[in-house]
Amino acid sequence: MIGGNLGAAVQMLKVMNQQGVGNIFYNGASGVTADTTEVTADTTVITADNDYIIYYALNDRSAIHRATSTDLNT
Amino acid sequence: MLYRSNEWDLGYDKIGLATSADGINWTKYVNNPVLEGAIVTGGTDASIDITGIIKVGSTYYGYVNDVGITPRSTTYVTSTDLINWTKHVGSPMFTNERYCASVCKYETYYYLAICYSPNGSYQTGAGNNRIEIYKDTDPTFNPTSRKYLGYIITGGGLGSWENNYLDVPNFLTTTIQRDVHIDDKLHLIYSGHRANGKATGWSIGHAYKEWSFIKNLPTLTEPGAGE
Repeated sequence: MIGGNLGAAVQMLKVMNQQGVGNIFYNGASGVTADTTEVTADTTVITADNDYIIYYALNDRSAIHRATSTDLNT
Repeated sequence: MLYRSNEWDLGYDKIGLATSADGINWTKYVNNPVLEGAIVTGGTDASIDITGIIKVGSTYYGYVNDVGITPRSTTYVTSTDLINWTKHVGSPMFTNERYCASVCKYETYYYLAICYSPNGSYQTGAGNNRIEIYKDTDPTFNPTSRKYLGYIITGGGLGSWENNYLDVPNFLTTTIQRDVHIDDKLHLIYSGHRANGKATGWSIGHAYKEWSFIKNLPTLTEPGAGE
C-alpha cells in the first residue's frame, strides 16, 4: 500500500522524465543493444578523459564487461 | 575495482579487489576476498554486495547490502587501503528492503541514492519501485541526522523498460571524492527490469537534474515499514 509521500515523489519523477530519462543499454528489442544477452543489475559508471566507462555483467554473471561512450546515450 | 563474486565460495557472494592501470587489463588482489560474511544483519554468513564508494579525507566509505535476505538492509564499511575494512557496529543504516546505495557530495552535504521496494521485490507498478535520495553532513547517514528528500525515480508504467524493478543507482562524478559533477547536474545511472512485453530483462538508464533544484528540496518524513 502506498502512503502519503507519493504526491511529492511523483512530482519529482515527472520533472526527471521531462529532462531526460531513457534506457542507454537494452537487451535487444529496441534502443541501443548492449548484447544479445540481458545485462544484469550490477553496473558501475565512471569517467576517464572525455569518455564515460560502464562496467557491467551479463545475466550469467560469469565476467565483467566494459563499454565506453562520449555522451552516455550511444 | 571492488567486485562481487562467488569464486571463493559457491554458497556466498563476497567482495574482491582488482586493480588496473588502463581500465582494461585487471589483476585480482592475491588475498581476495577483502569483504565477506554477515556484515549487514549479523548471523554467521550471508551473501553481500558493495555498490557505492566515496573517499573522505584518507578514508573510503563503502555501502554494503545483504543479498538473498528479505527484506534487505544496507550498512557501511570503512577502509584506508581498500583491503582492510572496518564494519559499522550497530543496526543497518537503511532497512525494510532498501539496497544498493550510492553516495556523492555537493557543496557541504553528502547525498545518498538508494533503491526502495516498499512492497517487496518484483512488484510491478511505479510506486512499488523507487530510488530515494537522502542528504546529510556526514557520510554515515545516521538515521538520527540524515534528511529524507523523497524519491527521484520510480519504475515506469506498464510495458516500459523499468516497470518491474529498479536497481544499483550510480552517481556519475569525475573523482573518487564524488564531488565533481558534469554540468552542475546530478547524473544518475541506474538499472531497471521489465516484467513483460517482447523484451523482458535488465536495461541501464540515465537520469539527471540540476543541483540547484536537488539541494533545495525540502525534508520529508521517511517512509517506514508497513507504508
